[in-house]
Amino acid sequence: MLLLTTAIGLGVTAGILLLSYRFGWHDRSDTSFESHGDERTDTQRAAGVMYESSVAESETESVDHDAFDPVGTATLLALYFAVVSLTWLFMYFVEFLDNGPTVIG
Amino acid sequence: MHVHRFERIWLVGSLLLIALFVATVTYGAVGAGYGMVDAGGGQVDGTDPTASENFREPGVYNGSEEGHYDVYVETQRFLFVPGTNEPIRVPANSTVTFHVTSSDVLHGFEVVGTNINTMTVPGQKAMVTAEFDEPAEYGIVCNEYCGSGHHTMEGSLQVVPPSEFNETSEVQ
Repeated sequence: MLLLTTAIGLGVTAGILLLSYRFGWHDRSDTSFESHGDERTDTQRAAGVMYESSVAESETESVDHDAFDPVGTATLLALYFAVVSLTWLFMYFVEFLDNGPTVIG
Repeated sequence: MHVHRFERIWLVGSLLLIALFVATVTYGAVGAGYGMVDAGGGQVDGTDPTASENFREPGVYNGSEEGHYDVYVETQRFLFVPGTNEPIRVPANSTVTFHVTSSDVLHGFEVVGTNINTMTVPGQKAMVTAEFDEPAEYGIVCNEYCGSGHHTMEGSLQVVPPSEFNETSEVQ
């Protein structure tokens, strides 16, 4: 039973790795020794560039430090913050102080 | 140095969270009166604790005020006196101070499921006070290795309804 599970697990892992190599992002022209500045693979054209260094500097644009508000991240953090605070209050006041005999001195 | 508005908010929030943690723990210590085991027990004779001024014959005694009991426990290899051969009995709604020492080697005295937990050292007395509100039965274990029978060393603490606790027969 354990052997079967291990075999299936290894097989699934190998399959995922294979598929992610075939369909995933990677530079397929790595072995070329000539400079192909304008050539881009199908994957690169579809997904946009991956590195800032693969685009000419004249085509880049900078923004201010304050120009972008990470609202999504802030919401997620606010949620975590609320969870941590409430869990702390619950654990300390309910599970610890109110739960069973505790040393008072 | 320029700090993003969100970063500023987050920094303030984190500091407030830390302040909340400190405030709740302070409230627990000062307001609700919860404490830790400390080193205030004093010294006793290492092999015959009962002979010392600091200690009495093992058992349950009336304490300093109404509803307060002093329980004197000796830990030996491999039993609690009282606790193992007969359970320690106290009434509900009482405050109990355990006075625990050892007459041979290091032992532990832990009321399972609570933080009433102390080492018992030959020559020293540990004093731990706790309030028992509801009737329940607790196990007592030795959690400090004391020899070949350490894993069998156990006892029990019974918090009984006040009506079942007979002051005259159970308190020394």
